[in-house]
Amino acid sequence: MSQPILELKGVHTSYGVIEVLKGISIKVEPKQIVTVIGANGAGKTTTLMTISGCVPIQKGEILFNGQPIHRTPAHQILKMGLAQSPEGRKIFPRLTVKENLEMGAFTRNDKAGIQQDIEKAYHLFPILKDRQKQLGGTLSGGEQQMLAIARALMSRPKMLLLDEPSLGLAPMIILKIFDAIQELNREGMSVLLVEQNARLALKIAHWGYVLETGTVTMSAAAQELLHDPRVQAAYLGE
Amino acid sequence: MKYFSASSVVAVLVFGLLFLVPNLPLGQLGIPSNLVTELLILTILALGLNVIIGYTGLLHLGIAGVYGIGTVCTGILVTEAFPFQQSFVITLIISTVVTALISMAITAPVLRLRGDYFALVTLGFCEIVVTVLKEFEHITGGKKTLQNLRPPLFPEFLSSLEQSLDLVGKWRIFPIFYYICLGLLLLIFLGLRNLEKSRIGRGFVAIREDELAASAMGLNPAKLKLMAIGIGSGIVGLAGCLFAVHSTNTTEPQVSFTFNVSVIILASVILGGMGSRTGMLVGVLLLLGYDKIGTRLLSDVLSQLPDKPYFKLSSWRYMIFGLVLILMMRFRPYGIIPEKRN
Repeated sequence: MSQPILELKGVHTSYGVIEVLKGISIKVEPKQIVTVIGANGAGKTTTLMTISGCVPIQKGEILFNGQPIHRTPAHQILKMGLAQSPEGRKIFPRLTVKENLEMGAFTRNDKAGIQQDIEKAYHLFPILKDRQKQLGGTLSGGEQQMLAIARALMSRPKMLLLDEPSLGLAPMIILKIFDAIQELNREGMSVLLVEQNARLALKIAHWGYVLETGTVTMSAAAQELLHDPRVQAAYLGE
Repeated sequence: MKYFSASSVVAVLVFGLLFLVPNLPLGQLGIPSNLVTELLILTILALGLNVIIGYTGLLHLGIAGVYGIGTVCTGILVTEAFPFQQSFVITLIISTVVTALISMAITAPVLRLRGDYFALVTLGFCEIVVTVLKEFEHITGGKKTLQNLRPPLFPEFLSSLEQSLDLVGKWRIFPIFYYICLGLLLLIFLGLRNLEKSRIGRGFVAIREDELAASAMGLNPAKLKLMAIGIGSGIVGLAGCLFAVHSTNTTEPQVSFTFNVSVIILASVILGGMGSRTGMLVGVLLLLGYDKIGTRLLSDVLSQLPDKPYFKLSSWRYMIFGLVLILMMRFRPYGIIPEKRN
């Protein structure tokens, strides 16, 4: 196998005295969708926040394209090509849709290229084009999620970290967003997807990890997990 | 599609009005012309504070201290007690830069603090500046202040220009100095408009909105905050320089640079509309205009009433002030001219 684009080796993270991640190891191969599923409080979001540098790591290593990034500040990790769409979307409510997208391209200087990528984002999520002059805060939940993903893409990342893109959205909208994620992946984007909606996540992913209270308890091809009786019982409600 | 927003129309009107002020019969109205100039200087001060509080959302409670640094810096560069004795133009530039640098150096260690904690530190900073200005008598003149600040307009190699314009010794007098201040105000106003539209300006707003999301976008929050402090303090330092030259001394620190001054400037920023340039013009002119000129006029009117009221307006002016702020917060919480984004 080729070198993984992202690799976590025995990552420990705590908030104060509470240890949230107890030595997890995850691998993401290039051009794949890898999903991390798990219940509330399992440490899914913390995993992503640790990767993106927003939460300090305690122990362990994170390699991106073979380079260690666990001591790199958040704003530089983005420059290396690892973009995050955080949980709860975190769009800028008082910037317009277009300005939000431009913020996503903050690290870039090529005006023409940025314009091109904004058009690309509008192509991926046409509704954003209709809303481009509106303030981010006035968008619906689904539109905000689309904006958050589009904004993360504006830095031309090699890899995308997505945190609960289905959170609080109607099934129709969720399907649209997951279609878009698959389309991005077909164009070559590696994705690490953290989801509570395990069924949907496993359906589009190549590989899956199950996270339980800070440890990886299962790791297998997504199709396998989808048909694993333990996963079905615990996360798919069957 | 509107070509002009309401706020830019107001801005044009205010600047037009300010341009015409020297033509008004100020003397007959009982308005001292030096207070009118001071209002302009305070407007520049508010525009600087707005960069820090309005754009970037850093609650700075010690802006008067920064203002004091700019003033004393000018005093040192101009007074005969020191060997510098620079011209106004040079002093203006150096004061702006030095104030920005000092303020950045002092704020840099506390940039990680947020909200209330940052506010407290800046509050303490202002008190320290006042004490230093008061106690370091050999440098700042202490309570006596640095006196006699009457620099030439241009540096020596341009002095013929000053002569040919017939400004020698005259340019600090109303209305020429008033127009110099107005020109600088307009320049800063337009400069800030460009800043708001720039990448950095958007970065400031993004930090105010959500620091975590901003850093996930590749923004360096600490660097951007420091830039906001630098740009804002630079503008405030420039205002301080104008103030020193205008008053011909560095003014007593316990009067001009105390917490009260910070608060009243902050109040006019909030009243005008945080983050809105036009709001700053309106806020300062209304609030400080009322404080410095309005109360004076009203007092005169009151004292001429047949039944002399037993109180003086100047002693209860802050009651009106408080009432206005309460009403504002109730009916226009984003200020008289809110930032466009609201």
